[in-house]
Amino acid sequence: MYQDLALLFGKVYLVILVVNVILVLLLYRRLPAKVRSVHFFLLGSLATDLASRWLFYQGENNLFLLHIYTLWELLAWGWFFNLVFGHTSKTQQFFFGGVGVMGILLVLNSVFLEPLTGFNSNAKTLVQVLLIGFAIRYFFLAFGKIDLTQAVAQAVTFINFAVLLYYSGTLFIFMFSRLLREYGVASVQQHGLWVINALLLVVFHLLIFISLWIPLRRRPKY
Amino acid sequence: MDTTPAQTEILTTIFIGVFLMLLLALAFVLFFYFSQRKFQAQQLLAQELEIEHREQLLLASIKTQEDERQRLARELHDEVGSKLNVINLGLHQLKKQGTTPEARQSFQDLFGLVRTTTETTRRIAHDLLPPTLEKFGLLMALEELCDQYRQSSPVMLEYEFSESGIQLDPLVALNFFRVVQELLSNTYKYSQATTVKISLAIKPHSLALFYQDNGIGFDPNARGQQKGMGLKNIESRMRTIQADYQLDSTPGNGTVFTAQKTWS
Repeated sequence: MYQDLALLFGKVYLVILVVNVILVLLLYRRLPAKVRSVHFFLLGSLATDLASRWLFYQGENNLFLLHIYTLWELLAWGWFFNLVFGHTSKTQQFFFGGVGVMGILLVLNSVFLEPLTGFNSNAKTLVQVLLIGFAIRYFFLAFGKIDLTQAVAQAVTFINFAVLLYYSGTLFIFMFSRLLREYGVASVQQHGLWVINALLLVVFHLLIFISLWIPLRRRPKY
Repeated sequence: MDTTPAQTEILTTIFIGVFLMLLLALAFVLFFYFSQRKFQAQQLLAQELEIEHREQLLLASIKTQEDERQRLARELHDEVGSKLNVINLGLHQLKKQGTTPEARQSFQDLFGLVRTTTETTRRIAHDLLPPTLEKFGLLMALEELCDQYRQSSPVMLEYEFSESGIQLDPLVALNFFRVVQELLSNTYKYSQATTVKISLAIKPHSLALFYQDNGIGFDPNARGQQKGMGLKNIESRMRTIQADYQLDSTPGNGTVFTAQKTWS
C-alpha cells in the first residue's frame, strides 16, 4: 500500500513540477527577479526526475543522479538566496565563496566517502541543514521589514516556507537513508518514509506553484 | 521480510524525527506569520495616529487662519475704513479754507489718494471675508465670487444655485465657500480649462455641491506626487464639517469634485 501511495504522490509531484516549469518558462519576463530565480532549481529537478525514472525502468542504478542533484540543489538555491538576501558585492563574495566551498566538499564526499552507486547521506544532510539555515535567516531578516500584502514579499515568503518545510521534513529521511541500507532494512520497510518524502515534495511544489501564481494574479503595489 | 527490533527502533526514531522537524518548521512559520501580522497592525496604528495628528494640526491651522482673516477684515473695515472717512471729512473742511490754485490741486490729489486707499482697504477686507457671506448667505457670496471670475477671465463659467430657505450653519457655509474659492483658483491657475460648471443645492436636510472643469486634469494618486496645500485644505475643510466628498480627476479628462453635507 505504501508503495502505491509513494508512486501516486510521485506522479502528482511530477505533474505539478511540469506545470511549474512551464509556468516559469512561459511567464519568465512577467515574474519578479527573485521569484523567477527558482527556475534553475525547477529545471534541474525536472531533468533529474525524468532521468531517474528512465533509468529505473531500464533497471539501472540511478543513485548517482542524487549526487548530481544535491550539488545542483546547493547551487540553484544558493542563487535564489543570494537574490533574496540582497547581498552587497562584498557579502556576495563571501556567500558565493561559502557555497563554492560546500560544492567542493560535496564533490570530495562523492569521490572519497560515499560512492556514486549509493546514497549520499552526508552531502544531502549538509545541504539540507544549510538550506534550512538560509530559510530561517530569511524569516529573521524579513521580520518587520516586509509587507505581506505585497505580491513579491508574499511569493518569496511562500518559497521560503516551502524550503523550510520540505528540507526539515526530509532531513532525517536522507540523513539515515544510507544507514538503513547498511543495516539491511528492507526497502519495503522503508516505503513509509518515501511516502512522506513524496507527499512533502507535492506540498513543496504546490507552495512553489502558489508563489509563482501570486505575482501573476496581482499587480505589485508600490 | 521481518524487521529486527533494532531496525524497527531505527525506523521509529526516523519517523519521530521527521514528525518533530515538520512540527518545528510549521510552528516557526506560523509564529513568523502571526508575529508579522501583529507587528504590521501596530505599525499601521502608529501611522494612523501620525496622520490623525497631522490632520489635527492642519485643522487647527485652518481655524487660526479663518479667525485671523475675520479679525483683519473687521479691523480694516472698522478701524482703518472709519479713520479714512474721518480724514476725508477733515480734508473737505480744509478745502473750504484753501484759496490758492496750488492748494486746491493738492486737495484734489489728496482726495484721490484717500479714495483709492479706501477702495483698496475695502477690497482687501472683502477678499479676507466677503461681507456678502455673513450678510446674505452662501448662495449670494458664491454668485458674487463667480461673477468676479467671469469678468476677469474668458473661461465659460456656468453656475446653478438653489435653496430651500433654510438658515445654514455659518461654519458649513464658510467652508463650502472656501472650497469653491480654492477649486476655482486651482482651475484658473493650472487646469487650462475652457468651461467650468458649478451647481449647489441647499435642501432642508442637505447641501450638495457639484464642480466640474474640462481642463488637463491630474492624477490624485500619482506616485511621488505630493498633494498641494490647496487640495489638502479642501479635504481638511470637508472633514472639519463632516461632509462626504469625492475628487475625480485623470490626466486629460478634467476634474470633478462632489461634496455633500447632511444634517438631521
